[in-house]
Amino acid sequence: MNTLKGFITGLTLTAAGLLPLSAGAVTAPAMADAHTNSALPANNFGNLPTLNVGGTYSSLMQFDFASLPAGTTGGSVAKATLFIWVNKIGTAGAIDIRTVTGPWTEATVTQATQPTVGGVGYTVPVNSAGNYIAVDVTTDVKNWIDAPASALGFALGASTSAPSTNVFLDSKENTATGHVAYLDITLVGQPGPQGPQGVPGLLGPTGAQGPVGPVGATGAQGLKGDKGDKGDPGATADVSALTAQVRALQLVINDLSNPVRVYVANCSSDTISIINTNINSVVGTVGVSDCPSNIAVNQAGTRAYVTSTLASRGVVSVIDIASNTVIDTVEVLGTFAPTGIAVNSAGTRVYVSKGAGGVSVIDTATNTVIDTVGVTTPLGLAVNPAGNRVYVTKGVNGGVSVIDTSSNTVIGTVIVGTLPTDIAINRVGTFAYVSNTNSGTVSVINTGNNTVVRTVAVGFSPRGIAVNFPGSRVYVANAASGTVSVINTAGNTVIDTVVVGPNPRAVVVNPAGTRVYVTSQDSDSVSVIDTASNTVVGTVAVGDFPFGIAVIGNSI
Amino acid sequence: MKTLYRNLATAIFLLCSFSAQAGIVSSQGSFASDDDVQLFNFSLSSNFLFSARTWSFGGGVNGAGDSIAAGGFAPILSLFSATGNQDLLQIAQAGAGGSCPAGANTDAVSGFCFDVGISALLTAGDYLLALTQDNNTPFGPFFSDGFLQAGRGNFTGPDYLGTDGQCILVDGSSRSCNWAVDLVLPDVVVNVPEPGSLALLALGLVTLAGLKRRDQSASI
Repeated sequence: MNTLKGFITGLTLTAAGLLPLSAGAVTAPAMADAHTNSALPANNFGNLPTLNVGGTYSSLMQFDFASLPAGTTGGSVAKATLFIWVNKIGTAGAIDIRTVTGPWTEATVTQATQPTVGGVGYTVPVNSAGNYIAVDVTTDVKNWIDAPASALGFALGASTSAPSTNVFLDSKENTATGHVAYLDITLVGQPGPQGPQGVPGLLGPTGAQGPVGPVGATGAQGLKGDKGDKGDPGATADVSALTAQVRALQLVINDLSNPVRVYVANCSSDTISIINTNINSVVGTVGVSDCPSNIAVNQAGTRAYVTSTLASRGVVSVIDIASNTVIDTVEVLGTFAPTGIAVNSAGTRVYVSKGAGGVSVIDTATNTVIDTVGVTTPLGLAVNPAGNRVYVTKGVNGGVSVIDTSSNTVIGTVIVGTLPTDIAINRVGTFAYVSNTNSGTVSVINTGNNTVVRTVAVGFSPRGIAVNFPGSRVYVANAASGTVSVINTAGNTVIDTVVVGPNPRAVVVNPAGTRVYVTSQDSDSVSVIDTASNTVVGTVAVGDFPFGIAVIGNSI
Repeated sequence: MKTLYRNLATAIFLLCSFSAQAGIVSSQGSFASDDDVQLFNFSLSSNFLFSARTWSFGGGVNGAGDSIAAGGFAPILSLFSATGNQDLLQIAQAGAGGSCPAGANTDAVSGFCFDVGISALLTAGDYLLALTQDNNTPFGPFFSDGFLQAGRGNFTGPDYLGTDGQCILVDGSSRSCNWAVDLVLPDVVVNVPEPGSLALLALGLVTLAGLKRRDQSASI
């Protein structure tokens, strides 16, 4: 089998490249992996966090196919891709991958008891760390599915074409990064995922004029007057203008009774400031303990969810918007302070990133944690409009994890820039925008195939990011530059840069898209940007060290 | 609260310090434990292109003109803001590929160039640079999140060799626990604390939390 294949050069995905996520793909994770060391031939290293390849080392990995549907055959496989995470590069080069033909176990294998292997099936260049390498292994996986006893895995060694190669890959024991090697298997004939919700239709035409009202009662007879001059013909009534005036008046009345409000989490003063955007003033304050940092509101505008960064147990406070009081607190599992938060469009689930400790899933009906998804160093979160995907930036570990909310499992990773921090998805769910703090860029992800379609240079240390309602503009807060970059999504280019308060952190757009609100951490204020002119038209003093920001209410 | 935080941090870091007026500030030391965190606290009065690098893995001559022996552990440099939440700004890890700074030497024993360099255009303010050993990365986006291996002591032996050991490289070879770091700064005072585990940091944060509570109580 391997002889027939000969050399096949695998595709290497660099940090600037793409990591495809197959529609309807099944994942087969490594169930056993280990490296062996010819310098210590009797030692087993099955429980170590790295798979060393090169020098005196070679590695083995075997996969679990339990997730395949019953009855799957080799003919059912359209494509199978092996993904391996490169942890460190000692000496760049290439690795040879061979199929294993003899039995082995993770807990016992040593250099002295290495299994037999076939010829070189694949040669893969490895030139950078902190990213996956991907290899098309369809032929082997087809064979393994048809003959499960032969599915003994792969052996990895320094390539004979680059013998000085020395690289360190993540093993399944590497809990620090969690990049377990896996097979991404696409089966023939599987339906694709449900598409995003369509854009709402345009406003309908004005309704017909109502019927003439009843004739009023006859009044008392007046005094006889003098005969007047003949008058000019009267003007024709402008019904459409009148209708527009009435509508505008009604919207103003609605907005006065239910104004757009901006909620700002002030970390150091342990408060949430509530800004009435009609008057750009703080009209209320809610106390939230332990450095409230990130805030999200449900689409109905009835609840706000706030993370407390200093909370040793990891706490999310639930605020009732009607009364502006904390009505519940949710203790997220684990010991890591929560850092990011998002609510699905239905308002039924809240997703919380917990520093290095995973993503907690909260059921809002009971305000309890019902699941935790293994994602390392998660930061920003965004839920797509359909609610079936959550995108999580992974900070120092890099990349964006894609979570399937039906199973609450990570189904893929998209490679973006360095230190991805925040993420926003447009209203129709077709594109996600990621701020890469250390790269000074924004990655534009096509969520249809989870690939980066454009990288946009912005200012220094971009952090908070938001998309306006039509999806035509993206606003990015550049912390070290003290600016907000305005991106036109039509060409994904920066069309303006707005100077705001120092150390801008989080950003939000009002529903009408006419104003952008930006927290300035060093001036304890919120800058208000007019999006028509892209100028700051107001500054609102809030609490100490404002952090996250969210918007609630109707548009005018 | 922000002022309290900064002052407290400075007080901690002044446990052992020295001043320098030169552009390059060179420091050397040795880790007592694999999970030690060596901190450098500095302030900038204006925008500055800050940089820092290590010399101890592959050896060389540092900014002070001292000859640094090769053989030290694989380093990580993490740069944080020292104000507010003390955000993680940048990180440089040994073996990241392309992270070896210009002029660094390839270690003759391992064959690796695992010294690291970090460079960032910083605005005026207070900053914190942390030196840790390979795989002891920041545990989250803030300095208060701590570091991944805090409390594990000599973790490199069990992780990289499968047995007890200190300052073990990812390839299982033994290294020294020595470090040497250069910081390129304008005219500033650099505070260099004794190397210590996160216990010292935790003490500071706990004290900070207490001060914060007291400050809030006093303001009510």
